[in-house]
Amino acid sequence: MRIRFASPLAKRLGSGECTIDAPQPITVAEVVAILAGRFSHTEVFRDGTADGFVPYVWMAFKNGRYLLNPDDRLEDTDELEFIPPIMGG
Amino acid sequence: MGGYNNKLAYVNLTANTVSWRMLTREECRTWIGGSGLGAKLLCEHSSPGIDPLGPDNPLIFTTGPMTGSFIPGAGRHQVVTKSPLTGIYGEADAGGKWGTVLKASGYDGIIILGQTTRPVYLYVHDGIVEIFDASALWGLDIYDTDAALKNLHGPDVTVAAIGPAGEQQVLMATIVTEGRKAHTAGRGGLGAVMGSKGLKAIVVAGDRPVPVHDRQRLERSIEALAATIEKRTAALQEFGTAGGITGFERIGDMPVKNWSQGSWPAVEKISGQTMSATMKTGRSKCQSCPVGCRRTVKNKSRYGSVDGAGPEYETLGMFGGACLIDDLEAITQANELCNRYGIDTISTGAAIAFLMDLYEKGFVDLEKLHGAPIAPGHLPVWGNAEAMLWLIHAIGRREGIGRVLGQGVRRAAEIIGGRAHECAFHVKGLEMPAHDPRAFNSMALGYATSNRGACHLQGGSYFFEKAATMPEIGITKILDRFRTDNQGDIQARLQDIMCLMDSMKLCKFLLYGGVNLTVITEWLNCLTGFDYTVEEMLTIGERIFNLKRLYNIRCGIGRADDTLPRHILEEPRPDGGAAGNLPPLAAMLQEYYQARGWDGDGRPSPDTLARLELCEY
Ligand code: SF4
Repeated sequence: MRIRFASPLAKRLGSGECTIDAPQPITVAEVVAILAGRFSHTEVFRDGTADGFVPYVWMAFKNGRYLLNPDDRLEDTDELEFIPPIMGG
Repeated sequence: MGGYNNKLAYVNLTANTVSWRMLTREECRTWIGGSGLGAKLLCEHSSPGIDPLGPDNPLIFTTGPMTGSFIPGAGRHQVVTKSPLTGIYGEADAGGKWGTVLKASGYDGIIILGQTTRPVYLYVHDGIVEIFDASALWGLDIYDTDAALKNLHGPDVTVAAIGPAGEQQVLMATIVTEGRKAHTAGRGGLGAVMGSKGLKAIVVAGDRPVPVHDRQRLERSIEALAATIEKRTAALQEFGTAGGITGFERIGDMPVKNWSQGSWPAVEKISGQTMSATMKTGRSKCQSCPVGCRRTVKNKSRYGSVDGAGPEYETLGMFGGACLIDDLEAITQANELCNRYGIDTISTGAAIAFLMDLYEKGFVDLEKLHGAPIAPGHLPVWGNAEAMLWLIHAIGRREGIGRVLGQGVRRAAEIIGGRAHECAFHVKGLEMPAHDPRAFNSMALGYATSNRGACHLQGGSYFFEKAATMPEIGITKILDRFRTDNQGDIQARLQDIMCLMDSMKLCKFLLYGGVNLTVITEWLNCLTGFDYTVEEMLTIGERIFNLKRLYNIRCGIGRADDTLPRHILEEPRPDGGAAGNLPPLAAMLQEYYQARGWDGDGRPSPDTLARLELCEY
């Protein structure tokens, strides 16, 4: 599955995208757990999984449209994107 | 009873008199304070048919019971009046510490009545309200007014003032507190009402503490949530509201090119992250707030010097996204000019984007509108920062083309005529802020039904489609922003809760930090000694919302006004994160009216009025 990271999240991770091999279907929470291991040099995904799934570190975004809850499922053909948290406004 | 001084000041500028009355326990229990009390006082002291810029329009400053307490995010005050921009109910809130100090002076609110022909300012301290001549201040900008009044009354006073725009009754004028810190009651042209009264400023001073009914219990309750607030607002602390701009652009929420373009990759040049890296000097906080979402910046560029408040998301969204200006230094200067003149950055940005749109489409005769030729460098073409700054001066000074733009896009479109209305993005006369209802269906319903016209904060529903929950009304997980079902009831209940926040005077950004209705009910009870239940709180919020609606109905508002610009309802964004989506407003509105207990024209039914004890209004 292809996963993209929007700037400035990409800067913190040192990468704009990555791919993971994962059983299908997979939940967003499971993807985040994999990413926490992959990017263990930063706190980005570690903090994002703490305290439930409150998107105050990043927000997940499926196929360019939907914000997700932790138990939402993804297929291999889905494109998942993480963007910086959108607060304030 | 904790939380209140139980005292309201009245200033009649026609008669040059000051008086006061007790704020009763019943008024506090029923209307809480802030927005609720303000709406009640507006109905009490005026009829909806009045001229907003005439002597009969009261200008009401209120605090809430939480204002000035140690509750996080409670350093806020409300301003309520009939809006000259929209001609309906008008209100705006501001943070900082002016409300805290007003309360510390001994009053829960000040009601300004009448008008004076010679400029005056008020000095409120130790339970005393004095009226002073302001002739020497008239004409000064916000920063200079603040400095001059501190010079006169000492550095510890806190000032709410209008700038040259308010004096000239520009219909998008603001009331700004604390000078260059620029905590602003921004929307609806409330500064023009203050200017129409000849009131330049209200200076407050005092040190009276807010009485707290059960301090220990309140401290324990706040402490229990402190770490969660700290953690969940980390991004807001680090990058401010501007930090969300890349995300907002990515989800198709920004008003790019006056709402016509779906995406704008240049957004990163003006983001909170770029601001932090290039000009940020620090973070500033409103009174008692642990978050501190506001930025201070220092910048010297070819546009001028700035040393003060940095631009917020809305300002970046309107001057940046809507006008396609990707120059952070220029936008920072635009923000500075708006703060000095005292004009709303949202409405000003919207008016400039409107003009750029008209000019590109050939819908406007610029020379005729301005009354003189416009220099080539000031032509309103997309992305022209010099034109933006020149137009801000024109609006702030009410000169040339600025005389028209400063009246807001609805009136400006009427004056220009032809197809100009196609480029005017407003609801009920209030320019749309920098959030696209095509990116959050709930925002469409929120804008259409907000009592002050297009506003993202009167329902705040998008908080719950990004990062917040409200279990008390069934929002236990983040909502899908494109959902089409169950919009009416959720929007109504969230508007009721936002009425409560605006009445207690608690910052809505605390909702990101895990604050919910149970928490605020507990805090309010600990503070005041009342025994509100969550259900009763929801009914109070509903009562307040409906009272404002009743005021608007008497101003002529009905079903036909609960709508959005045609473009937003019929033209999908062509690309980006909200491409193709159109909010199903008609269906949502029907559901909403039912949830509210309103008839088909949006009027509260007799049963609803009786249930909410609003029959006398
Ligand atoms: S979160 Fe920001 S706007 Fe709200 S009270 Fe705190 S500093 Fe002020």
